[in-house]
Amino acid sequence: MSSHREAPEISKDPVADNTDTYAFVSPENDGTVTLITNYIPLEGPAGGPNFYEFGDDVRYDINIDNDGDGKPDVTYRFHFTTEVRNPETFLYNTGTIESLDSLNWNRRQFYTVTRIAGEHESVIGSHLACPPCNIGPSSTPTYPALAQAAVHTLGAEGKVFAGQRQEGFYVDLGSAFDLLVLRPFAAAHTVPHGAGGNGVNATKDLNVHTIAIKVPIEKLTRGGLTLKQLNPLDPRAVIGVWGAASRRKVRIRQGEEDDVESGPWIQVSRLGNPLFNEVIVPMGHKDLWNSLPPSEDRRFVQYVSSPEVARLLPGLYPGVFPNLAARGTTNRGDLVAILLTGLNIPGFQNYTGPTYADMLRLNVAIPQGGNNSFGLLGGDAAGFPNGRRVFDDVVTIELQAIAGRTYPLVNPTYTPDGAALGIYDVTNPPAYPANLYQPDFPYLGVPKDGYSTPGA
Amino acid sequence: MRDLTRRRFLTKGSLGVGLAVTGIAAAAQLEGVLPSIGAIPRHSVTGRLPENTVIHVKDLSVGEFVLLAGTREIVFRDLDLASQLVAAVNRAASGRGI
Repeated sequence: MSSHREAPEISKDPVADNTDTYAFVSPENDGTVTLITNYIPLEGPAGGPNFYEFGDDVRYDINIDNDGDGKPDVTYRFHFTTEVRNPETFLYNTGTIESLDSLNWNRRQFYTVTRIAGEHESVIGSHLACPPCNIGPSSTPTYPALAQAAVHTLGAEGKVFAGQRQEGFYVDLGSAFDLLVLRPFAAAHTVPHGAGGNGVNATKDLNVHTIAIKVPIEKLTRGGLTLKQLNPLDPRAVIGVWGAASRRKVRIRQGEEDDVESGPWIQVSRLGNPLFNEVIVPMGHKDLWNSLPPSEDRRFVQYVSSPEVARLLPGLYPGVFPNLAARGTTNRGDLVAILLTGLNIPGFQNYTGPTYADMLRLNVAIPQGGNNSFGLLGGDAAGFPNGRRVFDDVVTIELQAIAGRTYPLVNPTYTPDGAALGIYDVTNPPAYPANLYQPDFPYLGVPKDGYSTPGA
Repeated sequence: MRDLTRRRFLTKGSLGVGLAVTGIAAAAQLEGVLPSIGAIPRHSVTGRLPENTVIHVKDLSVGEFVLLAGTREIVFRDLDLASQLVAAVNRAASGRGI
């Protein structure tokens, strides 16, 4: 998965498990950037009676680095509070939830948004309502409107939404972790699979919890530069983005008394580039990685420049990746650039400097101009790895990159294997599944409802 | 590889003594436990703790403590206090209380 249950510790703590992070120039307003972090992996829509919600005891951050040091210069911080109307019923709702203040909705969640920039900390939204989960036609018959009412305007600060959405990340999870079966080459796998068949989207009937904020570009850039003051070749147009969740250092369970917490906030999850901790960082270091800021990622450069997947592919598919086997399993400066420093190539740059830091690097001066889910590799410079849009096919892009497709960026004498260009994950050619998204903020689609999902 | 996870926080360390002190009950406990801290005033503790406070004996060999109070984390060393805590734990384990 992108970062769903990607490390041993966080896989046991879903409400703090950052599953996906997105950062992109808003399609309908190129003077703004949309930042999204998702939590709670693999939500089954019929999750009652205790439907999914954010953790009141978790601190959720969206961090922005605008000077290339891998440390946050701007942070949007979210704290949630749950309010129960009637603790004497086991029900989430006692009738149709017709509005965000419905008396029939028993367990509601609210949040505060704080913007932190250097020493300046300001609350830009408080007691903002989340929508309920999408329960079904009896409980939430007008769900799209209900959820849209939970898009809150923050004045000059932008817009914000926090609540359930349909899972927008798509992946053939079953094949990936069945000894890295690539369906196009399944017949060549050392463990015969026959024809691989079509890709299977393992997340198509699942939901997720989304924190999304759309803010003016000048709220994020170094020196508060506006779009008009920037151009795509200006290094100041590039920001680094990552999500992080933290918990208090100690929680004391007291039985009949309320639990208490103490100590500083300790980061337990983070996510910049999709799949970084999942398939780059070895198991013994994943929990550590989750606790560190991007500025510490020099410790992990070796796993990027010589990724385990690149070393596995030639062995799993004898004869399919000969060039990768001969020259492409080490010294992968292309992957280091894509994931840890940003790219600086003719016609495009999202380079943030020499500090190795796993961040989504977004050149905010490049407006949306297409919807090619293959992103930069497909000629669409507004997509991954220039930030990440909700529909970008990051699994295919990263698999092709690791298999050698992008190696010529730093090693012009290297010729990628034909197979590297033929890898696809869920769809061939890469294309995002229909009906997962919506055209306007928060862009991720209406969550699946519990009554109808999964269908017969 | 780091083998310390956050869930093991209170069990890690050469001793692994974790002392949780909450609310008004803390005063009495502190009076009994902290009478001889070197760097901290030795007079009897009174009043109410402003925040939930946890003491973690992190390294018994040097008497290193971590004091968690609110969102603060304060590290200090007091070998004498560490020894007293060990003795208290051992007495409690033997059924004689602290």
